[in-house]
Amino acid sequence: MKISIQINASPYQHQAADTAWHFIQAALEAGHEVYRVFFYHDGIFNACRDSRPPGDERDIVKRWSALQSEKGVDLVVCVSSAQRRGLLEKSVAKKVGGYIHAVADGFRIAGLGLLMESVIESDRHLTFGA
Amino acid sequence: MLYIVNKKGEVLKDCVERLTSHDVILLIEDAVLAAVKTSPSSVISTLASDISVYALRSDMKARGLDAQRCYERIQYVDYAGFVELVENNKPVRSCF
Repeated sequence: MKISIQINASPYQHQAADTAWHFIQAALEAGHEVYRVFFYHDGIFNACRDSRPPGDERDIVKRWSALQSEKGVDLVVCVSSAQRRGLLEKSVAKKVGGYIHAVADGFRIAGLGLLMESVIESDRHLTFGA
Repeated sequence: MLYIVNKKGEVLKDCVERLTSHDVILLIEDAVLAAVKTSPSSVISTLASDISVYALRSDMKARGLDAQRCYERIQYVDYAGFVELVENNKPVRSCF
């Protein structure tokens, strides 16, 4: 089964990012394909490179980056949601004079077309929100 | 249809109003609080008998709830069971 995931909520404040991550681990374990994780609205804060939780806590951002580097899961951040919240893609940041390292490793910035593609291409689309 | 619900109260009530025969509900996150028999806002007891109700075990545990305090009709799943519910039901709708 091909599954796509959408996360609409900020990490640490809501459980959505944790629930989604545990679900993805179980889905991969069961042999399913996770086609894409799409970060929308406040969910874009999951891609915040400079997130620095205390050392004895789970590191949600790093956990996503590892999911991409180790399992090859496509992590897509909504460009409009991100720009509104000050999380700029490198090329945009350079152009407007913003911080160029805002987005953590493993994430890419794209538009809602990729969300639609996820819904169309997957057998199931699950949304986790606040 | 599988409804994945993450809050009790209005969110769960809205979901319950939409249910049709043989639908499935999975309670996750704060929605597991609705599984408790003493919960005044729980609508679980009003559901038709052909509706299957599941609760995510880890979210129950995180909130100090055990099955003895909950409605007998509730079935419990871990994340692997969550994945199986998603696999066995189409479409899937998230209510939050």
